[in-house]
Amino acid sequence: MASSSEGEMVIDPIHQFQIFDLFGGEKLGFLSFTNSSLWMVIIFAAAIALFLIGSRGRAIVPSRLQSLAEVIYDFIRKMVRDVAGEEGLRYFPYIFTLFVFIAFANLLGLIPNSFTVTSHFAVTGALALTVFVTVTAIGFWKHGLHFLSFFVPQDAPLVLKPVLAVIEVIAYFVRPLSHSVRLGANMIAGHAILKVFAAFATSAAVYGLSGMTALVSGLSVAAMVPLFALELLVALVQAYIFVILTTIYLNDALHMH
Amino acid sequence: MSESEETSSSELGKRISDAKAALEPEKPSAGQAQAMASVWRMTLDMVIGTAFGFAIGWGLDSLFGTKPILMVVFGLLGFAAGIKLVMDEAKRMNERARDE
Repeated sequence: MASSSEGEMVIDPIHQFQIFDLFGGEKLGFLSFTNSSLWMVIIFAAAIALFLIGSRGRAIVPSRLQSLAEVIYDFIRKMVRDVAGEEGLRYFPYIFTLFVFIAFANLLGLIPNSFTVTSHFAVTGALALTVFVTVTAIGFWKHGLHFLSFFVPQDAPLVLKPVLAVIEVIAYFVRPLSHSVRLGANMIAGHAILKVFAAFATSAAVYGLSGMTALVSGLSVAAMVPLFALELLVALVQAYIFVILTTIYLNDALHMH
Repeated sequence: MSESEETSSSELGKRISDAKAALEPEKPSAGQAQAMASVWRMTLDMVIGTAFGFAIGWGLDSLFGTKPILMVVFGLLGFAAGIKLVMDEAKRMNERARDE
């Protein structure tokens, strides 16, 4: 990560995002099992463990794990009802699954030496695309071709309507793009910054212990603590943003204007 | 029911609801998270909108051989789409503020 054998410092904050085959390799091609796949399996195991073990007791006075599971469930359920109404609650399982997956991916990615699945646009893009396709399909299923009037502002003068419709269509297609970039870019940026500071922290070890390097190391370790706290917040807020936007898009498809 | 009894019963109701509110555990505030979500949303939509518009224009230009024209037009349209998304979010923030 930070040092080579000559004692020269190499800061490579992007290295942590590299995908490599764990097994399979050439033979299986794109089906091979990578570190990304491994962490997705871990995410699913952790999520299932939280909710299965958490809900096993079914206690009226919940255990810590049960109340954690209940808080997450209530929080997302309330958000869905607030944003998309009672009708949106039908899609709550999908939204809840998205939240749990992204939140676990972001949080587990903060463990040193782990891999952040959501730092790859292939993953966030796929998530955003499924949301886009699902929401569009729901819109057409609920409203038929009438859904197309979503793109024509009702109260605009006739001359402006075509231009505004083009803008609306572009905006509709911008949504999945920014949806995926927001999550992916936040994860990349946060982890890269943490890695840069972590690399500075080893400077004393690399250059020998003089006053200056000790100061640099100490300062960067001190800076990493609040940064890590911030990343913890960002990890959860980004997962929340992803699902609240999903719910907003869903609401647009269900109720149009 | 006399006047004084009615006021005392409504007072009692208020005291009960106050006591309930005091007992209620502190919940994570959804308002704060939503405000954060709004800001995060607005910053990126405009950038992506403009870039996406330029990309569409670029593609159409190389299709029709009208190099810079459509790129400029769709860049502006993309920017307008970004503004539209930001305005939508602002409208939503307003509604939320009114609800509270």
